Amino acid sequence: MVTLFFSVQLLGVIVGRFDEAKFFSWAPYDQISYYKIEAFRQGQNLSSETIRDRYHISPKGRENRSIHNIISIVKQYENSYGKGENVNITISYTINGHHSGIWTWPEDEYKRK
Amino acid sequence: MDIIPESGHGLRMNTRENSELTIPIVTSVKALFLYILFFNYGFINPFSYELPFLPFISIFDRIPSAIYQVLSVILGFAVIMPLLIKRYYSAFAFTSGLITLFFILSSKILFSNSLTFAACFLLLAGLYYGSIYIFRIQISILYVGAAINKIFSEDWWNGLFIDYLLKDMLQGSLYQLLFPAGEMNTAIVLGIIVMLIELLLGIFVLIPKFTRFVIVGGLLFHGSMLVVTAGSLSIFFMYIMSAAFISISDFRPHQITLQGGHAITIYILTRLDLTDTIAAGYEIKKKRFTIDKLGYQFSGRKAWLELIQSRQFAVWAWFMILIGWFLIPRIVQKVIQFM
Repeated sequence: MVTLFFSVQLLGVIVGRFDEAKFFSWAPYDQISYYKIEAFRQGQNLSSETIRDRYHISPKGRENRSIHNIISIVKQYENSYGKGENVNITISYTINGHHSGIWTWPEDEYKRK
Repeated sequence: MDIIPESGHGLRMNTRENSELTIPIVTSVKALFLYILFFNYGFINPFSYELPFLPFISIFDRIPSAIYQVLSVILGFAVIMPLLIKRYYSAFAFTSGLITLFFILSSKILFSNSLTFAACFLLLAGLYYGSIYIFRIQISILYVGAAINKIFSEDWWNGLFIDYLLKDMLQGSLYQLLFPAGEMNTAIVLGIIVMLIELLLGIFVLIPKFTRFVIVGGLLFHGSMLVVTAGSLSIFFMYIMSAAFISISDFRPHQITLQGGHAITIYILTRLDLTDTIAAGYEIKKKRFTIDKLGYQFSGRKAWLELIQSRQFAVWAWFMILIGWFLIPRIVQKVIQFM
């Protein structure tokens, strides 16, 4: 059982090589990102409180792990609980102060700034 | 002189009678119970928001919230009870580790490397079968995993990460002083040193004869991170790694037996002890607070002084400083907001 437990963790490290979010790959403090989430529903800008209530994360701030953690949370929400609500989302981010980009939903596209 | 050689009559130890774990492991486990309780329980607590929420495993979405509420109560019970009753550590460690992992899997919001590590460690303590190698392997996986992830990141080799981290953390003149504009060589060297340290810690922790080197090196590593980032980064890691390092150490403080004084004082002192080596004696005739240690008795102020100088106190104070470092500013902030 202990062997299986460690094997799963090692698998997580290996999977982390191919997965940008790196959730279970023991990757603390690998990158620092500043991000801002903006969301629109039927042309209306969702307030910071609404975004916080919706995703349970801060609408803007610092992420000490991969920025894909944040994107993964928003994407999963829109693919599940928020499905059919037709919300347009933009997450603008800067990784390590140098790599800036934008992720958009529902396109699920990344653009470099 | 207050120091009187112990007669040995009328004394019985009442600690560790039912403990199936060694002193270092008990100390680690109790520190991690406090970690869950003080750092995470308020966040895990599903009464603050409903779980499951964005689980890693989609089928968890079908589990009713009531189950999480019940589990949350059990988790609270599992981390508080062993501190009070001082027994069944394995069972409580297994229970709290399993529930915490289940909660993490039930919400991406709850995920953090430090909490996941604490949960894994508690689970392993619950599965402990006599070999501390399981803890060495767990620590090794963490450090090697962290090193591998950095090694494959370009920003760790070209100094961008370290440069940005320090620029972000040490804003203003201190950063300018340490790193003139455009100077990346120091950041590159620091990045390589961090990767090397993590890799070496991950390898050497598996070799028992390097245990002391790993513990000193690891604590210096996390301590320097705290200093460099002015305490804003790695406080959780400092805490959980301190707890983890104790489990693989030969930490064995001298047994202390408390006699006399107020019953409530004895109760509190034995419950605050993370090492389970402070016991309440059964000599109830004494009115003055006395401790027995290494065959000597200390009374009154000297007893308190001896307690403060003990390893048990050092360990307790270390974890309390880390908890206070994190919690006190937040409590003050809340109080100010409330006022």
